[in-house]
Amino acid sequence: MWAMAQTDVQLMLEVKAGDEQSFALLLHRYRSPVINFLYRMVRNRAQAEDLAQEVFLRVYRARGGYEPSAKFSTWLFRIATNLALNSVRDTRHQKQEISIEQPAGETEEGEERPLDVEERSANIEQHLVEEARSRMIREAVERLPEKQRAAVLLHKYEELSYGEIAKSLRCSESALKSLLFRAYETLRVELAPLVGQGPKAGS
Amino acid sequence: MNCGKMEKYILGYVDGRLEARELRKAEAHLAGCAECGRRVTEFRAVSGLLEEMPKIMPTEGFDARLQARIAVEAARESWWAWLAPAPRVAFAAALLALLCVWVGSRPRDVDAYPHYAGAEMRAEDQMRMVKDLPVLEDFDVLENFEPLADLPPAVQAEGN
Repeated sequence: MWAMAQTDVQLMLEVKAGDEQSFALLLHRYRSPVINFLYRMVRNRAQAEDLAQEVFLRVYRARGGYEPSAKFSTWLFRIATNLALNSVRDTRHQKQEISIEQPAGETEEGEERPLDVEERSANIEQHLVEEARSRMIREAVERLPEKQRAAVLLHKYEELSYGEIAKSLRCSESALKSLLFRAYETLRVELAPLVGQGPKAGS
Repeated sequence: MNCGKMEKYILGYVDGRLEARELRKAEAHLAGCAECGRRVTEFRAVSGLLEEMPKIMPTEGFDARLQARIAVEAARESWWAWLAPAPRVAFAAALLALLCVWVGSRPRDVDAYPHYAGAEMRAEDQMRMVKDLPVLEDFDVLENFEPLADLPPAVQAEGN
């Protein structure tokens, strides 16, 4: 048996050889990053989980032909990015209808849960400020065009190199850098009120 | 390096991904460009703000749901694997089965006319023959063939 620090590629090769346990390990390692990436892309928890299931199912189905030519995470996020972009494009009109009917930020996430009495009496003001700040960041990211959003999320959270992100998005490295620059320019403007404030107190 | 070129390098500079040569060029530009310097500061701030994005955890049944789907997938694959060693045989068997079904479902034209040459043809047999255009002419000729009508019944039976 392999030691604790089995690489993704080693695990995937074992999955290819028929070891279900190795697949469970890969799933455990990547389900949270994949779900969070998809959640930030599609803005809906249930849909993000459904897509994540599809991502891992596709990995499982493709195990027979797996060749360790690229990083496992690059391959994984390429599948996730494809599914996310297709999903966002397919449901764009539907999403627009929802955003008109539903005030921004009040998603299914339950982040806007009612405050209990104790919280209300304690520090309602600070809570509201944090809520507004968090909502502002989330909405600014959500408003980015989907390809820019995917680029920002993969760059910021998944520790993929420019080359790996470019492969996931099927664009050149140069095009990726332009995408990222435009996205950060937009965020810099949209988040201008927060940009000058420095990091959140206590974080 | 000018501000336009700096666009491709600025985020790499912010997150420390530039190679040594690129870094030197970026630093040289930043030393003389206040606008890009401000952009670097603000991109850093944006990057910090992105750290604040809330994370979600997978729901409780996520793994179980996936494992169930994988099990279905594995079962399906093993069924196909049974056929896989002999795909040509499987294909040939499938073709044969299709052929049997096709032949079985065809109208039984040849056996449908037991009294083809006889004068006692039933009404439904006649209807079938009428529908069968290629033999329509022959039917006409035989129907009106006088010597056949003159044959005694016993001889007709033998003829059948």
